[in-house]
Amino acid sequence: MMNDMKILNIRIINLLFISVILSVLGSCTPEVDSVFDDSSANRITKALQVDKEILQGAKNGWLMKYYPASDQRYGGYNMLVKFGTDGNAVIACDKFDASKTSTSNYSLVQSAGPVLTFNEYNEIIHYFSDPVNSDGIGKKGDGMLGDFEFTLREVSNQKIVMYGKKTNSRIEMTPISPDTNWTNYLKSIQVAEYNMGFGMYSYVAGNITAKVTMSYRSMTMNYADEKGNNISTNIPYLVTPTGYELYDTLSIGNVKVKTLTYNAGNHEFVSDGTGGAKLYGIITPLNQLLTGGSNWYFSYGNLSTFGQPYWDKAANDLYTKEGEVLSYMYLNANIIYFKSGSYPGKYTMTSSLQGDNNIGFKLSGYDSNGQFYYTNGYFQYFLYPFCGASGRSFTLSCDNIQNPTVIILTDVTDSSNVITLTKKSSAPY
Amino acid sequence: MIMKYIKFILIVAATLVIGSCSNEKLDPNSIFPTESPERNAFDTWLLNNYTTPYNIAFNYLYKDNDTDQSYNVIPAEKDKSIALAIMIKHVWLEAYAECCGENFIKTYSPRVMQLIGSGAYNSNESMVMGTAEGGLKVMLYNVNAIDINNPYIDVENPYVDKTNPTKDLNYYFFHTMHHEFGHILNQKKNYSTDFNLVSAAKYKSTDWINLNDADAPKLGFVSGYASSEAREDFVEIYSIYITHSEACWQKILSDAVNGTDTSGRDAIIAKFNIIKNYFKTSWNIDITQLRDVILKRFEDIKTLDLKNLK
Repeated sequence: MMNDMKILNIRIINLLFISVILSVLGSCTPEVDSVFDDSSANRITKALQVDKEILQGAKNGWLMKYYPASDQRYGGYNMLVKFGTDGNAVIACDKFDASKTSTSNYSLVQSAGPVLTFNEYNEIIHYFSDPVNSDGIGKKGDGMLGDFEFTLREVSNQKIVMYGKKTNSRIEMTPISPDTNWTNYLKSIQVAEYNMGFGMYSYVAGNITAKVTMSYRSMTMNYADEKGNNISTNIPYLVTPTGYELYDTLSIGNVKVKTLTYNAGNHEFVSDGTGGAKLYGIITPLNQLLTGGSNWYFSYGNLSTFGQPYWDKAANDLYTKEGEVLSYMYLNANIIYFKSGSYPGKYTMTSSLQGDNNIGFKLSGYDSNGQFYYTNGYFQYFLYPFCGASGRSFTLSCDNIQNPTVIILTDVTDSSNVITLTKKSSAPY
Repeated sequence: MIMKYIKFILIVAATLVIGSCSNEKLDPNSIFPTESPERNAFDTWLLNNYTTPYNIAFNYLYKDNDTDQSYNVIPAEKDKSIALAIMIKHVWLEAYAECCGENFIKTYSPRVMQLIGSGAYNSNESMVMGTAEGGLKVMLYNVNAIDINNPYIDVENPYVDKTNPTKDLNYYFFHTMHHEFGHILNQKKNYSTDFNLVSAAKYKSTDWINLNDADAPKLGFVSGYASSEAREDFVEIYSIYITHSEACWQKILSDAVNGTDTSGRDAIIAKFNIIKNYFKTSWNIDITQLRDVILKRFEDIKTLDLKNLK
């Protein structure tokens, strides 16, 4: 009996020991030294204040190398931005008249890090974000897909690196020197862009030669690599007063290139670094240019009175019978691409080139949508001024032989049939 | 002996437990700033006309976390935001205040109005008119389309051409706001389920998009969208009725008659009577009187100064 009591007591003691140990352990607060000396809220507030002072510190503003769209398909734009202490930013851009500025509110806010936002409508920067671009670039709902909110990554007085919040495009800003006149600077870029524009280019790096066309501010390079594979790559760039600056470092033929500097005397662009790569501006015969791989847009207003009645009939039938409207039609490398309602299709042409300025087109095939719209009597008429039933021949002329933005086709057999094709995208109606 | 031992252990344990509690002081400073933000004249006006009286945040600047990131949109222009703020106050907030009392609109109005400059487009290029999230926030799109020199409010045409939207403020903003507000009121107090039975067999769900507004009355609906489901039907009748003239309402009713078949008109009238009764008994609102107040206030907009804040 006594023994039993003892055993019981020892058990109680054991239990007490265990509970003491547990409660002592449990009551320990694991004290860990903070990695940061202040709360996250206070740190971001301070960081935003510092960033704001740096932004406002550039008295003549910042040169922002702005790339809309996550794939930078439209290339880069020189945006000049001055951040005022009144909360307003003054913005100019080489896409607009050089002397034009637009002023609107900006803010630095906390949103997964410091974010610079242009949160009040600004005619210049929001041109690139408007879901319905005023020049008809991009589809409705997209526009040019540009950001107006930027996550700041590196901020110093010499350079700011930020990323578009939606696109993640890298956008850099450098302070503009105090003696630079904004208007003159933008003008020098616009003049350079015009002078450096060619209908076609060729790029030579190492033992590779690429054929280059440009759309917006993006080069498309087509070449065969060392193994003989055909490569097509897009190179977004920004125009500077002296040449082109590429978004990413270009590496073709083991030569790395970031900038190309123009020499007006020989139409050549010299690359930076030691690889000796060069871009050559080529003055191309018009008939080669027309079939060379840029888009050349058709529109009703650019047809002579010869062609317009055919388009009237086709558009009218298309609308009444199918409830559709032609939304684009362009020629690219002997193929006419179109979209009717929501249906894209194409027609293949055979072209015959004579001399520099003469060309003949004849319809040689279509895809299934193309077949539908042709055999149902719509594109028979849309195509009639261009290739008739059995082909047509044209004499070509243009606005600027170095870099045509329009090519005028005059029918050899009937000079009243004139078609003007534009390089700038344009809706058919 | 054993008991003493136990007592000793208990004392040691208590000491250890108490001693191991550490006493960490809280930071006396709030992480939320308590200073007033810098306010421009418009901000101050909004404080005095929206925030203080109605507890509404009128966000004319773009705020990413109040915006649907799946759409590509742009911020609103300031002068147009000012005009819209003046108009919404006059034809919306004060119309309800006049008709239903200050407390009614203070209690039930959405708390956030977020302005967006452009439209919001779906991938099929159709446009979102406005949305209300849980009665809390109303999104107002297309603010930059407002013509502040010639504010245009169409109360006569029940069928707006959506393929070529006009600058009609009624279609873009006021009808939309009453529509969304109708949802808020329905969420607070339910309407009679008899309403759901009137056109029960005719709702089209997502296929409403294929019903033109002009063809809707014959099926017993005041708009194409009203044919989607009963709760949309309810707020469409409500919002179209109170933002359009009696002549316009009669036009809808007469368009609802198809030869000798009056079933469309009968359905609209049956539903309208339930709605009128719901607002009278649940909210003590005479919707015909509310309509008269709204239409009179629409008239005022022609002479309202939309450029200067008072």
